[in-house]
Amino acid sequence: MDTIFTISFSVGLPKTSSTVCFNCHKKIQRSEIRVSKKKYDRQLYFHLPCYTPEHNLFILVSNLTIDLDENSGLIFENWLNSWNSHFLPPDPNISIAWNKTKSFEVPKCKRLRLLINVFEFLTYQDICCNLASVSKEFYEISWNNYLWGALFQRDFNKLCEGNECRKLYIDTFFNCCTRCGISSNKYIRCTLLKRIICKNCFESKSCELLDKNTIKRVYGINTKYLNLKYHIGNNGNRRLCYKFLVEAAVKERRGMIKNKVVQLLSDKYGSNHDMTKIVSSIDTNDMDQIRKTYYKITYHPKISNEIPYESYKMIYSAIRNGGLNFARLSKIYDLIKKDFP
Amino acid sequence: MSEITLVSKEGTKIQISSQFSNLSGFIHNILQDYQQNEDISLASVSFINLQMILEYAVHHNFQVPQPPRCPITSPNIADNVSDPWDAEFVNRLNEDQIIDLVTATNFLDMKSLMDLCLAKIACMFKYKDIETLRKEYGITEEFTAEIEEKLKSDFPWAMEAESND
Repeated sequence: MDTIFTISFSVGLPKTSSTVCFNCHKKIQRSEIRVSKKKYDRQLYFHLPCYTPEHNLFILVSNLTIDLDENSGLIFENWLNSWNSHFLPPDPNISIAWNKTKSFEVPKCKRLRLLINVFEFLTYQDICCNLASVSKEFYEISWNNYLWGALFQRDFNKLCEGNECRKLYIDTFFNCCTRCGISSNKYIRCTLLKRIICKNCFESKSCELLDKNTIKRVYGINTKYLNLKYHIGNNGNRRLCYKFLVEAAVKERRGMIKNKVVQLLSDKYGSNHDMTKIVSSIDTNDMDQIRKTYYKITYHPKISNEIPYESYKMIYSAIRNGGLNFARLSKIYDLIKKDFP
Repeated sequence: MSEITLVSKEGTKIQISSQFSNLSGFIHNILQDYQQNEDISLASVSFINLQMILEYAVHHNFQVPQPPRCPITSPNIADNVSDPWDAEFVNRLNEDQIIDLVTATNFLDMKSLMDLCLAKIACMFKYKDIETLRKEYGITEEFTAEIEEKLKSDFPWAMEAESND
Protein backbone atom coordinates (compact mmCIF):
# COMPACT_ATOMS: atom_id res chain seq x y z
CA MET A 1 0.00 0.00 0.00
CA ASP A 2 2.84 2.36 0.75
CA THR A 3 3.52 4.33 -2.40
CA ILE A 4 5.74 7.26 -3.03
CA PHE A 5 5.40 9.85 -5.74
CA THR A 6 8.70 10.91 -7.19
CA ILE A 7 9.43 13.28 -10.00
CA SER A 8 11.45 11.77 -12.80
CA PHE A 9 12.15 13.02 -16.30
CA SER A 10 14.95 13.25 -18.84
CA VAL A 11 16.66 16.47 -19.69
CA GLY A 12 19.01 17.07 -22.61
CA LEU A 13 19.72 19.01 -25.78
CA PRO A 14 17.65 17.85 -28.77
CA LYS A 15 19.49 16.45 -31.76
CA THR A 16 16.94 17.85 -34.18
CA SER A 17 14.63 20.83 -34.00
CA SER A 18 11.57 18.87 -34.97
CA THR A 19 10.05 18.36 -31.50
CA VAL A 20 7.30 20.65 -30.26
CA CYS A 21 6.79 21.89 -26.71
CA PHE A 22 3.64 20.37 -25.21
CA ASN A 23 2.99 23.55 -23.27
CA CYS A 24 3.65 26.45 -25.70
CA HIS A 25 3.34 24.43 -28.94
CA LYS A 26 6.51 25.98 -30.34
CA LYS A 27 9.41 24.06 -31.79
CA ILE A 28 12.26 23.27 -29.43
CA GLN A 29 15.52 24.46 -31.00
CA ARG A 30 18.75 22.47 -30.80
CA SER A 31 20.35 25.00 -28.46
CA GLU A 32 17.43 24.92 -25.99
CA ILE A 33 17.24 22.57 -23.03
CA ARG A 34 14.50 19.99 -23.58
CA VAL A 35 12.64 18.10 -20.87
CA SER A 36 11.16 14.83 -22.04
CA LYS A 37 8.65 12.95 -19.98
CA LYS A 38 6.58 9.88 -20.61
CA LYS A 39 2.94 10.22 -19.70
CA TYR A 40 0.85 7.10 -20.10
CA ASP A 41 2.14 5.85 -23.42
CA ARG A 42 2.97 9.23 -24.89
CA GLN A 43 6.32 10.95 -24.88
CA LEU A 44 5.91 14.64 -24.06
CA TYR A 45 8.51 17.35 -24.65
CA PHE A 46 8.84 20.75 -22.97
CA HIS A 47 11.12 23.76 -23.01
CA LEU A 48 12.76 23.84 -19.59
CA PRO A 49 11.04 27.16 -18.61
CA CYS A 50 7.69 25.75 -19.84
CA TYR A 51 7.92 22.64 -17.69
CA THR A 52 6.26 22.46 -14.26
CA PRO A 53 6.61 19.18 -12.37
CA GLU A 54 3.27 17.50 -11.71
CA HIS A 55 3.83 17.19 -7.95
CA ASN A 56 4.97 19.86 -5.53
CA LEU A 57 7.92 17.84 -4.34
CA PHE A 58 11.64 18.07 -3.88
CA ILE A 59 13.35 16.73 -7.03
CA LEU A 60 16.14 14.25 -6.44
CA VAL A 61 18.88 14.34 -9.08
CA SER A 62 19.14 10.55 -8.77
CA ASN A 63 15.66 10.26 -10.32
CA LEU A 64 16.59 12.26 -13.42
CA THR A 65 18.37 11.35 -16.63
CA ILE A 66 20.63 14.27 -17.49
CA ASP A 67 22.53 14.68 -20.76
CA LEU A 68 23.75 18.28 -20.91
CA ASP A 69 26.94 20.17 -21.67
CA GLU A 70 28.62 22.44 -19.13
CA ASN A 71 26.75 25.68 -19.93
CA SER A 72 23.30 24.18 -20.18
CA GLY A 73 24.14 22.08 -17.11
CA LEU A 74 24.59 25.28 -15.10
CA ILE A 75 21.28 26.68 -16.37
CA PHE A 76 19.53 23.45 -15.41
CA GLU A 77 21.19 23.43 -11.98
CA ASN A 78 19.86 26.95 -11.31
CA TRP A 79 16.38 25.90 -12.36
CA LEU A 80 16.55 22.81 -10.15
CA ASN A 81 17.82 24.75 -7.13
CA SER A 82 15.12 27.33 -7.61
CA TRP A 83 12.41 24.62 -7.69
CA ASN A 84 13.84 22.67 -4.75
CA SER A 85 14.19 25.76 -2.57
CA HIS A 86 10.43 25.60 -1.93
CA PHE A 87 10.45 22.06 -0.55
CA LEU A 88 12.08 19.94 2.08
CA PRO A 89 14.14 16.99 0.88
CA PRO A 90 12.22 13.76 1.41
CA ASP A 91 12.78 11.71 4.52
CA PRO A 92 13.97 8.25 3.43
CA ASN A 93 11.98 6.69 6.29
CA ILE A 94 8.71 8.10 5.05
CA SER A 95 6.92 6.81 2.03
CA ILE A 96 3.49 8.05 1.26
CA ALA A 97 1.34 9.30 -1.54
CA TRP A 98 0.81 13.03 -1.86
CA ASN A 99 -2.78 13.84 -2.37
CA LYS A 100 -4.72 17.00 -2.87
CA THR A 101 -5.28 18.77 0.38
CA LYS A 102 -7.90 21.20 1.42
CA SER A 103 -7.48 21.88 5.09
CA PHE A 104 -4.30 23.04 6.81
CA GLU A 105 -2.51 25.61 4.70
CA VAL A 106 0.90 24.01 4.85
CA PRO A 107 3.26 23.01 2.06
CA LYS A 108 2.65 19.35 1.33
CA CYS A 109 6.03 17.98 2.42
CA LYS A 110 5.78 19.65 5.80
CA ARG A 111 2.13 18.71 6.04
CA LEU A 112 2.82 15.01 5.73
CA ARG A 113 5.34 15.01 8.55
CA LEU A 114 3.10 17.23 10.62
CA LEU A 115 0.17 14.85 10.26
CA ILE A 116 2.27 11.78 11.02
CA ASN A 117 3.56 13.46 14.16
CA VAL A 118 0.02 14.45 15.13
CA PHE A 119 -1.28 10.91 14.58
CA GLU A 120 1.40 9.62 16.94
CA PHE A 121 -0.57 11.29 19.75
CA LEU A 122 -3.71 9.31 18.93
CA THR A 123 -4.77 5.75 19.60
CA TYR A 124 -5.14 3.10 16.93
CA GLN A 125 -8.95 3.39 17.32
CA ASP A 126 -8.87 7.09 16.51
CA ILE A 127 -6.67 6.47 13.48
CA CYS A 128 -8.37 3.39 12.05
CA CYS A 129 -12.01 3.97 12.88
CA ASN A 130 -12.35 7.71 12.38
CA LEU A 131 -9.45 9.40 10.68
CA ALA A 132 -8.77 6.79 7.99
CA SER A 133 -12.21 7.39 6.53
CA VAL A 134 -12.03 11.19 6.51
CA SER A 135 -10.00 11.71 3.36
CA LYS A 136 -7.68 9.90 1.00
CA GLU A 137 -4.72 11.64 2.55
CA PHE A 138 -5.61 10.50 6.07
CA TYR A 139 -6.26 7.04 4.70
CA GLU A 140 -2.76 6.87 3.21
CA ILE A 141 -1.28 8.01 6.49
CA SER A 142 -3.23 5.34 8.37
CA TRP A 143 -1.16 2.76 6.45
CA ASN A 144 2.16 4.50 6.88
CA ASN A 145 4.91 2.22 8.10
CA TYR A 146 6.74 4.96 9.97
CA LEU A 147 3.59 5.86 11.90
CA TRP A 148 2.89 2.24 12.91
CA GLY A 149 6.53 1.80 13.92
CA ALA A 150 6.18 4.79 16.24
CA LEU A 151 2.87 3.51 17.62
CA PHE A 152 4.39 0.07 18.17
CA GLN A 153 7.26 1.55 20.12
CA ARG A 154 4.92 3.71 22.15
CA ASP A 155 2.36 1.02 23.00
CA PHE A 156 4.55 -2.06 23.32
CA ASN A 157 7.84 -0.43 24.25
CA LYS A 158 9.75 -2.36 21.61
CA LEU A 159 11.49 -1.26 18.46
CA CYS A 160 9.85 -2.29 15.22
CA GLU A 161 12.11 -2.81 12.25
CA GLY A 162 11.21 -3.66 8.69
CA ASN A 163 8.33 -2.72 6.46
CA GLU A 164 5.52 -4.52 8.24
CA CYS A 165 5.08 -2.50 11.39
CA ARG A 166 1.35 -2.31 10.94
CA LYS A 167 1.02 -6.09 10.69
CA LEU A 168 3.31 -6.55 13.66
CA TYR A 169 1.26 -4.05 15.66
CA ILE A 170 -1.96 -5.94 14.97
CA ASP A 171 -0.39 -9.32 15.74
CA THR A 172 1.01 -8.07 19.01
CA PHE A 173 -2.20 -6.30 19.82
CA PHE A 174 -4.28 -9.44 19.41
CA ASN A 175 -2.01 -12.12 20.76
CA CYS A 176 -0.10 -10.58 23.63
CA CYS A 177 -1.25 -9.86 27.14
CA THR A 178 -1.72 -6.17 27.96
CA ARG A 179 0.05 -6.55 31.29
CA CYS A 180 2.98 -8.90 30.72
CA GLY A 181 3.30 -8.65 26.93
CA ILE A 182 3.57 -12.43 26.58
CA SER A 183 1.46 -14.36 24.14
CA SER A 184 -0.72 -16.99 25.81
CA ASN A 185 -3.45 -19.43 24.87
CA LYS A 186 -5.37 -18.83 28.06
CA TYR A 187 -6.60 -15.30 28.04
CA ILE A 188 -9.57 -13.12 28.80
CA ARG A 189 -10.78 -10.50 26.39
CA CYS A 190 -11.09 -7.32 28.36
CA THR A 191 -13.80 -5.03 27.03
CA LEU A 192 -12.66 -2.05 29.06
CA LEU A 193 -9.20 -2.06 27.53
CA LYS A 194 -10.26 -3.68 24.27
CA ARG A 195 -7.23 -5.93 24.68
CA ILE A 196 -6.53 -9.38 26.05
CA ILE A 197 -5.19 -10.20 29.49
CA CYS A 198 -3.60 -13.60 30.12
CA LYS A 199 -5.10 -15.71 32.92
CA ASN A 200 -2.05 -15.37 35.16
CA CYS A 201 -2.19 -11.60 35.07
CA PHE A 202 -5.97 -11.58 35.37
CA GLU A 203 -5.77 -13.51 38.63
CA SER A 204 -3.13 -11.20 40.08
CA LYS A 205 -4.02 -8.42 42.53
CA SER A 206 -3.31 -5.67 40.04
CA CYS A 207 -6.28 -6.76 37.95
CA GLU A 208 -8.78 -6.51 40.79
CA LEU A 209 -11.82 -4.44 39.96
CA LEU A 210 -12.41 -1.39 42.14
CA ASP A 211 -15.56 0.69 42.18
CA LYS A 212 -15.67 4.46 42.45
CA ASN A 213 -16.35 4.51 46.20
CA THR A 214 -13.50 2.12 46.90
CA ILE A 215 -11.14 4.22 44.83
CA LYS A 216 -12.08 7.29 46.86
CA ARG A 217 -11.68 5.40 50.13
CA VAL A 218 -8.38 3.74 49.27
CA TYR A 219 -6.61 6.53 47.49
CA GLY A 220 -8.44 9.48 49.01
CA ILE A 221 -8.76 11.00 45.56
CA ASN A 222 -11.86 12.21 43.81
CA THR A 223 -12.52 10.03 40.75
CA LYS A 224 -13.40 13.07 38.63
CA TYR A 225 -9.69 13.96 38.61
CA LEU A 226 -8.65 10.60 37.22
CA ASN A 227 -10.09 10.51 33.71
CA LEU A 228 -10.86 6.81 33.91
CA LYS A 229 -13.25 4.69 31.91
CA TYR A 230 -15.40 2.27 33.88
CA HIS A 231 -17.14 -1.04 33.38
CA ILE A 232 -20.73 -1.23 34.44
CA GLY A 233 -20.97 -3.86 37.19
CA ASN A 234 -23.34 -6.82 37.12
CA ASN A 235 -26.01 -5.14 39.22
CA GLY A 236 -25.90 -2.05 37.03
CA ASN A 237 -25.07 0.41 39.80
CA ARG A 238 -21.36 0.02 40.27
CA ARG A 239 -18.77 1.54 37.98
CA LEU A 240 -15.70 -0.66 38.04
CA CYS A 241 -12.14 -0.20 36.89
CA TYR A 242 -8.98 -2.28 37.05
CA LYS A 243 -6.65 -1.55 39.94
CA PHE A 244 -3.58 -1.13 37.74
CA LEU A 245 -5.35 1.50 35.65
CA VAL A 246 -6.49 3.32 38.77
CA GLU A 247 -2.99 3.26 40.23
CA ALA A 248 -1.45 4.63 37.05
CA ALA A 249 -3.99 7.45 36.94
CA VAL A 250 -3.57 8.22 40.65
CA LYS A 251 0.21 8.30 40.29
CA GLU A 252 -0.03 10.66 37.36
CA ARG A 253 -2.45 13.00 39.12
CA ARG A 254 -0.38 13.14 42.29
CA GLY A 255 2.79 13.74 40.30
CA MET A 256 1.09 16.60 38.53
CA ILE A 257 -0.13 18.22 41.76
CA LYS A 258 3.28 17.77 43.37
CA ASN A 259 5.01 19.51 40.46
CA LYS A 260 2.49 22.31 40.64
CA VAL A 261 3.01 22.79 44.39
CA VAL A 262 6.80 22.72 44.02
CA GLN A 263 6.53 25.31 41.26
CA LEU A 264 4.31 27.56 43.39
CA LEU A 265 6.57 27.26 46.43
CA SER A 266 9.67 27.95 44.32
CA ASP A 267 8.02 31.05 42.87
CA LYS A 268 6.97 32.33 46.29
CA TYR A 269 9.81 31.28 48.60
CA GLY A 270 12.60 30.22 46.23
CA SER A 271 13.90 26.76 45.47
CA ASN A 272 16.26 26.79 48.48
CA HIS A 273 13.48 27.19 51.05
CA ASP A 274 13.17 24.23 53.43
CA MET A 275 9.55 23.58 52.59
CA THR A 276 10.27 23.55 48.84
CA LYS A 277 13.00 20.99 49.42
CA ILE A 278 10.83 18.83 51.68
CA VAL A 279 7.94 18.85 49.20
CA SER A 280 10.30 18.04 46.29
CA SER A 281 11.40 14.93 48.13
CA ILE A 282 7.88 13.51 48.54
CA ASP A 283 7.57 10.16 46.83
CA THR A 284 4.19 10.13 45.12
CA ASN A 285 4.44 6.37 44.47
CA ASP A 286 4.30 5.64 48.14
CA MET A 287 1.42 7.60 49.60
CA ASP A 288 -1.03 4.85 50.49
CA GLN A 289 -0.58 2.42 53.29
CA ILE A 290 -3.06 -0.29 52.63
CA ARG A 291 -3.93 -2.72 55.37
CA LYS A 292 -5.70 -6.01 54.99
CA THR A 293 -8.87 -4.45 53.70
CA TYR A 294 -9.37 -1.27 51.77
CA TYR A 295 -11.58 0.10 54.51
CA LYS A 296 -8.79 0.76 56.98
CA ILE A 297 -6.43 3.34 55.63
CA THR A 298 -3.75 5.14 57.56
CA TYR A 299 -1.84 8.13 56.38
CA HIS A 300 1.78 7.80 55.56
CA PRO A 301 3.87 7.79 58.77
CA LYS A 302 5.97 10.70 57.52
CA ILE A 303 3.04 13.02 58.08
CA SER A 304 2.64 12.36 61.76
CA ASN A 305 6.13 11.37 62.87
CA GLU A 306 9.05 12.57 60.83
CA ILE A 307 8.12 16.10 59.82
CA PRO A 308 6.03 17.89 62.42
CA TYR A 309 4.97 20.91 60.33
CA GLU A 310 1.26 21.52 59.95
CA SER A 311 1.88 23.10 56.56
CA TYR A 312 3.63 19.93 55.38
CA LYS A 313 0.68 17.80 56.49
CA MET A 314 -1.66 19.99 54.51
CA ILE A 315 0.51 19.93 51.41
CA TYR A 316 0.96 16.17 51.68
CA SER A 317 -2.76 15.75 52.02
CA ALA A 318 -3.40 18.02 48.99
CA ILE A 319 -1.00 15.99 46.86
CA ARG A 320 -2.44 12.68 48.07
CA ASN A 321 -6.01 13.83 47.39
CA GLY A 322 -5.05 15.18 43.99
CA GLY A 323 -6.83 18.50 44.56
CA LEU A 324 -5.45 21.96 45.07
CA ASN A 325 -7.69 24.99 45.09
CA PHE A 326 -7.16 28.65 45.89
CA ALA A 327 -8.60 28.43 49.44
CA ARG A 328 -6.39 25.51 50.29
CA LEU A 329 -3.38 27.26 48.85
CA SER A 330 -4.00 30.38 50.99
CA LYS A 331 -4.22 28.17 54.06
CA ILE A 332 -0.96 26.47 53.12
CA TYR A 333 0.79 29.82 52.77
CA ASP A 334 -0.54 30.92 56.21
CA LEU A 335 0.66 27.71 57.82
CA ILE A 336 4.11 28.03 56.21
CA LYS A 337 4.34 31.53 57.72
CA LYS A 338 3.66 30.02 61.17
CA ASP A 339 6.01 27.06 60.70
CA PHE A 340 8.86 29.14 59.29
CA PRO A 341 8.56 32.52 61.00
CA MET B 1 28.19 33.57 28.88
CA SER B 2 24.82 34.66 30.25
CA GLU B 3 22.93 36.21 27.36
CA ILE B 4 22.66 35.51 23.68
CA THR B 5 21.10 37.58 20.90
CA LEU B 6 18.56 35.95 18.61
CA VAL B 7 17.61 37.63 15.34
CA SER B 8 14.17 36.87 13.90
CA LYS B 9 13.28 36.51 10.23
CA GLU B 10 12.34 40.20 10.11
CA GLY B 11 15.68 41.23 11.62
CA THR B 12 14.41 42.06 15.11
CA LYS B 13 16.93 41.28 17.83
CA ILE B 14 15.96 39.69 21.14
CA GLN B 15 18.28 39.05 24.05
CA ILE B 16 17.74 35.92 26.09
CA SER B 17 19.53 33.80 28.66
CA SER B 18 21.87 31.20 27.21
CA GLN B 19 19.95 28.65 29.31
CA PHE B 20 17.56 28.64 26.35
CA SER B 21 19.89 25.98 24.94
CA ASN B 22 18.35 23.52 27.46
CA LEU B 23 15.17 23.67 25.42
CA SER B 24 16.50 24.11 21.90
CA GLY B 25 18.84 21.63 20.23
CA PHE B 26 19.58 24.16 17.49
CA ILE B 27 20.78 26.82 19.95
CA HIS B 28 22.62 24.16 21.97
CA ASN B 29 24.63 23.19 18.88
CA ILE B 30 25.31 26.81 17.94
CA LEU B 31 26.61 27.61 21.42
CA GLN B 32 29.34 25.02 21.00
CA ASP B 33 31.32 27.51 18.85
CA TYR B 34 29.65 30.73 19.88
CA GLN B 35 31.63 33.89 20.26
CA GLN B 36 30.34 36.56 22.59
CA ASN B 37 28.22 39.37 21.12
CA GLU B 38 27.60 37.32 18.01
CA ASP B 39 24.03 37.40 16.69
CA ILE B 40 22.23 34.11 16.08
CA SER B 41 20.12 34.43 12.98
CA LEU B 42 16.87 32.44 12.92
CA ALA B 43 15.89 32.71 9.27
CA SER B 44 12.78 30.56 9.60
CA VAL B 45 11.34 32.04 12.80
CA SER B 46 9.16 35.12 12.69
CA PHE B 47 9.24 37.72 15.46
CA ILE B 48 5.76 36.77 16.70
CA ASN B 49 6.71 33.09 16.94
CA LEU B 50 9.99 33.93 18.61
CA GLN B 51 8.16 35.98 21.24
CA MET B 52 5.82 33.07 21.93
CA ILE B 53 8.70 30.62 22.14
CA LEU B 54 10.52 32.85 24.60
CA GLU B 55 7.37 33.31 26.67
CA TYR B 56 7.10 29.52 26.91
CA ALA B 57 10.80 29.17 27.78
CA VAL B 58 10.68 31.84 30.47
CA HIS B 59 7.55 30.33 32.03
CA HIS B 60 9.29 26.98 32.32
CA ASN B 61 12.41 28.60 33.70
CA PHE B 62 14.41 27.26 30.72
CA GLN B 63 13.90 23.70 31.92
CA VAL B 64 12.31 20.95 29.85
CA PRO B 65 8.77 20.49 31.20
CA GLN B 66 6.84 17.26 31.48
CA PRO B 67 5.70 16.16 28.01
CA PRO B 68 1.99 15.96 27.17
CA ARG B 69 0.25 12.64 27.63
CA CYS B 70 0.78 10.28 24.71
CA PRO B 71 -1.63 8.98 23.52
CA ILE B 72 -3.92 11.79 24.52
CA THR B 73 -6.98 10.67 26.47
CA SER B 74 -9.31 13.60 26.08
CA PRO B 75 -10.17 16.20 23.45
CA ASN B 76 -9.42 18.87 26.04
CA ILE B 77 -5.73 19.74 26.01
CA ALA B 78 -5.86 20.74 29.68
CA ASP B 79 -6.47 17.09 30.62
CA ASN B 80 -3.37 16.00 28.72
CA VAL B 81 -0.75 18.38 30.09
CA SER B 82 0.62 18.62 33.60
CA ASP B 83 0.88 22.41 33.70
CA PRO B 84 -2.43 24.25 33.13
CA TRP B 85 -0.45 27.24 31.82
CA ASP B 86 0.59 25.11 28.83
CA ALA B 87 -3.05 24.48 27.99
CA GLU B 88 -3.89 28.18 28.26
CA PHE B 89 -0.87 29.10 26.16
CA VAL B 90 -1.75 26.78 23.31
CA ASN B 91 -5.51 27.40 23.53
CA ARG B 92 -5.12 31.07 22.72
CA LEU B 93 -3.57 30.22 19.34
CA ASN B 94 -5.59 29.48 16.23
CA GLU B 95 -4.85 26.60 13.89
CA ASP B 96 -2.56 28.53 11.54
CA GLN B 97 -0.61 30.03 14.41
CA ILE B 98 -0.11 26.55 15.90
CA ILE B 99 1.23 25.25 12.60
CA ASP B 100 3.56 28.24 12.26
CA LEU B 101 4.77 27.55 15.76
CA VAL B 102 5.32 23.86 14.95
CA THR B 103 7.44 24.87 11.97
CA ALA B 104 9.43 27.32 14.08
CA THR B 105 9.96 24.81 16.91
CA ASN B 106 10.98 22.20 14.35
CA PHE B 107 13.62 24.62 13.08
CA LEU B 108 14.82 25.31 16.62
CA ASP B 109 14.66 21.60 17.54
CA MET B 110 12.43 22.35 20.55
CA LYS B 111 10.74 19.03 21.15
CA SER B 112 8.83 20.06 24.26
CA LEU B 113 6.93 22.95 22.65
CA MET B 114 6.52 21.08 19.38
CA ASP B 115 4.92 18.14 21.21
CA LEU B 116 2.58 20.52 23.00
CA CYS B 117 1.42 22.00 19.68
CA LEU B 118 1.07 18.57 18.06
CA ALA B 119 -0.92 17.32 21.05
CA LYS B 120 -3.23 20.33 20.64
CA ILE B 121 -3.83 19.44 16.98
CA ALA B 122 -4.38 15.80 17.96
CA CYS B 123 -7.00 17.03 20.49
CA MET B 124 -8.85 18.65 17.59
CA PHE B 125 -9.15 15.19 15.99
CA LYS B 126 -9.92 13.21 19.13
CA TYR B 127 -13.39 11.62 19.45
CA LYS B 128 -14.71 13.40 16.36
CA ASP B 129 -16.71 11.49 13.82
CA ILE B 130 -15.90 11.41 10.13
CA GLU B 131 -18.54 13.89 9.05
CA THR B 132 -17.60 16.45 11.69
CA LEU B 133 -13.95 16.27 10.71
CA ARG B 134 -14.77 16.66 7.03
CA LYS B 135 -16.94 19.66 7.79
CA GLU B 136 -14.43 21.32 10.08
CA TYR B 137 -11.50 20.96 7.73
CA GLY B 138 -13.41 21.66 4.54
CA ILE B 139 -12.70 18.25 3.06
CA THR B 140 -15.06 17.76 0.16
CA GLU B 141 -13.46 14.78 -1.54
CA GLU B 142 -15.57 11.76 -0.93
CA PHE B 143 -14.97 8.10 -1.22
CA THR B 144 -17.10 6.04 -3.52
CA ALA B 145 -19.32 3.38 -1.98
CA GLU B 146 -16.85 0.68 -3.02
CA ILE B 147 -13.94 2.44 -1.35
CA GLU B 148 -16.00 3.01 1.81
CA GLU B 149 -16.62 -0.74 1.92
CA LYS B 150 -12.93 -1.39 1.40
CA LEU B 151 -12.06 0.99 4.22
CA LYS B 152 -14.31 -0.92 6.57
CA SER B 153 -12.78 -4.22 5.54
CA ASP B 154 -9.25 -2.85 6.01
CA PHE B 155 -9.61 -2.40 9.73
CA PRO B 156 -12.16 -4.99 10.90
CA TRP B 157 -10.17 -5.62 14.06
CA ALA B 158 -10.31 -2.00 15.09
CA MET B 159 -14.03 -1.75 14.33
CA GLU B 160 -14.65 -4.91 16.31
CA ALA B 161 -12.68 -3.62 19.27
CA GLU B 162 -14.58 -0.34 19.16
CA SER B 163 -17.97 -2.06 19.10
CA ASN B 164 -17.19 -3.84 22.36
CA ASP B 165 -17.87 -0.66 24.31
